Amino acid sequence: MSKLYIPNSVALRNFDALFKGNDFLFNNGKVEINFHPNYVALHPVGLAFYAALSDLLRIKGCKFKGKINYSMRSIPYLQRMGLFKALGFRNPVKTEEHEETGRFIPLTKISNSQQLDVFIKNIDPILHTNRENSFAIKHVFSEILRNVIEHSRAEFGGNVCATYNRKKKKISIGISDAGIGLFNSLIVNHKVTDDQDAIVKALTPGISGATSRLGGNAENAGAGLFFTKCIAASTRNHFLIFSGNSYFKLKITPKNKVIAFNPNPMDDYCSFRKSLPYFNGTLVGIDINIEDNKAFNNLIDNIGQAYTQGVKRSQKTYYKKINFS
Amino acid sequence: MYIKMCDICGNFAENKDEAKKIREDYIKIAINNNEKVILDFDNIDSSTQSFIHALISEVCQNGGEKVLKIMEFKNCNKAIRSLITTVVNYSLE
Repeated sequence: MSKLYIPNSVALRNFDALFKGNDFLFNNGKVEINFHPNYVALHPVGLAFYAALSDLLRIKGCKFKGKINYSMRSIPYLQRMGLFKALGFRNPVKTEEHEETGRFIPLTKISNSQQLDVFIKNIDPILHTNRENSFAIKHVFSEILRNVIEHSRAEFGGNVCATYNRKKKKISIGISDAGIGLFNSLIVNHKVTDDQDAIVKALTPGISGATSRLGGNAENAGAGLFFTKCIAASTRNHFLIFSGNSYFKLKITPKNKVIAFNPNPMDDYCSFRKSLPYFNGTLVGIDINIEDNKAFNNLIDNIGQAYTQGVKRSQKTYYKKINFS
Repeated sequence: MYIKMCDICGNFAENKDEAKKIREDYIKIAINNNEKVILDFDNIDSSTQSFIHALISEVCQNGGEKVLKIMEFKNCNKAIRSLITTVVNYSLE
């Protein structure tokens, strides 16, 4: 029987905890899921990851059972975030139902454009944000979830969840799928050597899985992940992407370092790991705290300039020729 | 041709399928007929780079700089202006 161990804590800063004692192979049809006996603290990136693993186990037709210490203090949080339901278990304890509003988005399945539309429309009432201050949040959700819908070929769609820390004004997001992964998505139109190379290409502005052309095609610019990474960088937050056997993590830029929007992710203040236990899918985790739309507008300008520099041969600008009225 | 974007996209324009439909059913036809096309972004709070790309990048690439004289972007806030400028800049060589 294969084993899956859910550790004491999985967050963007200590993401490597995910791999402790795990190989994610699940080749013999039966999986035993064990939780850390005392406390399990999961950032949405961790919750989204286990939801994708659950999809993978369903695809493989695995039977799984879990061992939970009922005195584990984090059960109510994990239950509200929908982890046990996503893993196919009944909720282990009876908890008072709290209104989701203003605090969190539990694990939610997004499989098509219509579901994404509904999800985006409901963000403001759930997170207590409003139309005036949630541009960045909606931008991130839309860009990443559209990638899942369009490129992942995931049988069960994408998984998304988020928590909002009102005190720090920070939203933490996890998005995952058990699809074909970045390597298999990009290899169709690009020369890709391994999972790490696929991540580099996916983060490079202008490279899209939909076409071999730099700059994309009519529907894909190859910019969604680049913009998302830059949004995290702009507020000195983490951004992580894990696919196949590799992950890229944008580290928190120290305050004495200038924030840069690098077209080449290898130039970022980051950590890259390869030869990890293989994950059949794609996982994205990000923290953002942009509630100031003026800052977001300037940010879009700056990211746009960085994107253009990365993609375009000529640096000519057309701003004055665009007919705004 | 006048297109009231929020009637199609709501106040956060992110659905690329809708962008593609506007591009194919309205913008391209107007450009082919050398007819002015007004994209009115009134009541749209924001959008995504992907949406604006799907909306206008191809027509800029195919039509070149002259399509900027045919397309008019009305009532754009700062975010939308930034996104349109970004997409136009990288789409036109």
